[in-house]
Amino acid sequence: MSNTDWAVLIITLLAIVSYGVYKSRGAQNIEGFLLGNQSLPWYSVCLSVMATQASAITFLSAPGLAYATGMGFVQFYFGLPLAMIVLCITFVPIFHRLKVYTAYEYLEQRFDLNTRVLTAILFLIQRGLSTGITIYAPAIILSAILNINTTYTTLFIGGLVICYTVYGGTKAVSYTQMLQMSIIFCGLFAAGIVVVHLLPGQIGFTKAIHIAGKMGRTNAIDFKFDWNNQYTVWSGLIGGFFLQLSYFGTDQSQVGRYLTGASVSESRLGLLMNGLVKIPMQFLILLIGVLVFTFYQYNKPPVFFNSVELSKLEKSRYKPQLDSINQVYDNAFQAKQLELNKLDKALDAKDQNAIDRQREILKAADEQAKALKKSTTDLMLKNDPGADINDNNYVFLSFVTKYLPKGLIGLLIAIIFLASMGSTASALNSLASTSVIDIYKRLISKDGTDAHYLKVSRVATIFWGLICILMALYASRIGNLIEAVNILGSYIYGTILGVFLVAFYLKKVSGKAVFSAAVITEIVVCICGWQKVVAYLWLNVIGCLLVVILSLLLQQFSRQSSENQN
Amino acid sequence: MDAPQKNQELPPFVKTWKQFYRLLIFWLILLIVFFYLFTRYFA
Repeated sequence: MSNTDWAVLIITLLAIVSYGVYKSRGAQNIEGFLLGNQSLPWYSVCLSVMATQASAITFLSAPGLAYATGMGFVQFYFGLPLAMIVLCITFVPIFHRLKVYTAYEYLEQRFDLNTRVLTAILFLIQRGLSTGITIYAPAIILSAILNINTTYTTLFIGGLVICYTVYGGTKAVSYTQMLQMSIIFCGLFAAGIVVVHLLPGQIGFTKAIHIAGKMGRTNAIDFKFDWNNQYTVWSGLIGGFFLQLSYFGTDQSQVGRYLTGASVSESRLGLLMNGLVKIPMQFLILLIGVLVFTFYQYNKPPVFFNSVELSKLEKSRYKPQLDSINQVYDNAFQAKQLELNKLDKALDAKDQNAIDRQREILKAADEQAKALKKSTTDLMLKNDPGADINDNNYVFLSFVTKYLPKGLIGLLIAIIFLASMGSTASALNSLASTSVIDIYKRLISKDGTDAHYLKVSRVATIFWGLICILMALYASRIGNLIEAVNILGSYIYGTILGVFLVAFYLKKVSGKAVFSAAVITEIVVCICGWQKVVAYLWLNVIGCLLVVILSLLLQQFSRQSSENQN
Repeated sequence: MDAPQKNQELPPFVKTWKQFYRLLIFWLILLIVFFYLFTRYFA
């Protein structure tokens, strides 16, 4: 990176953190620290909710995914607007009316203390572990790009987030997230314009999409019902709905965001605007990936985008094999240029037969490139069984650092840092609020002063921040940790969502029944996961449905027992 | 303004929250139709 890029990166990060700290200055109380005195407008709620959900990996993976497989990933978000509507009708008014600090506080009012503590502990375990990965995943990618040790990038991201979250609490989180999202939108928009500008003279925006489309990259929609296909309209609408509902409705890192809204209306509007904006935003991010794909049809991409893994292979005894792969790859790329020119002419002439013919030829060329990449990753695994053979996260950043103008590179690297910081800050704030409100204040020190709880909240934020940094540093020693954390989340999310659905919609079910149902479900889910009965994503559905069914059965059983005794 | 009144605040652009929810569903359908046409047109 040039000095200009470093300057842009540092100034952007410092300016945003300073803004967040400045806006949240002044005397704080516990309500201000954890709920922002419920004073924020809808647009702040909306941007904060979006920044919490969009981690750095979102901005790195999505363009890379579009480059590799197309735009089908956009369907993953189809359930989100529907989940926002259910949240606005049920969750938001109840949480606001009861003036809760955390989602789990409501469960004590509806059921009992046991249910509240159980769900709070499940959340702390899941979110505490996954936040480490939120820091670690972008840190390792930025380390590879910036050529800095992972420890420094991890400490930098984690340390900066702890500072402003401890100082300004939830308000600082929201204000920084507002600015973060604005800069992220501007940066991505600029990147999109530059990609189009970098295309060969005769290739405009529409033609670039046409070329990508002929090679299967504009497949934004798939109506086929297929259990094995992750991204279809149906999996997005049904599976996505449950996933988004459990995430936004029961995960304190999101509940804490919309509880900062000044009223039910402000929280509702923030969520509904998120429902309006999220899918088009994701579509545009994927579209940038598609444009990058077209760009790389005319500019030879590396056979594998993760330069660290590639250089390891170059230094290994497999170098001769890699060289011969590269030779074939270069020749195939040159041959493809001729076919692309023919497609270009066919598109200009609107000659459908020629377009169809070129489509098949270019698809075959694409398959050949994929096969050569597969041969390369096979060599990588032979050389090092722990090698990271997924380079989706590196496609966009590799393009940014190599082709974008000075200044914009620094801004886009800043975006990756900002996205990571935004979701980490929300997580730390939610971990602190759940530890203090649901555990410390409820079980350990019930009669403390407001100042005491504020102090404890700050200590809890630092504590969780350090745990997350340690997790992130330790993650580098356990290759499979990212997947392990995702699996752990699936063990827990379904059960918590089931408890909340029973709380909202099955008014006759008591705390005793739902607590027993949750404990049994967690055991069953753990066994199913341990024995690999189903793919781990299905554990969410099993957990949710089992809690609901068991709660009803146990409630019925308990009623019959008491009737028999009478 | 007290809490119950706040809860009854109306949304912007439309008359009731129900209409806003319908608008969001309509928007989702519109996006799906747009993505379908986009996929067809460029493929």
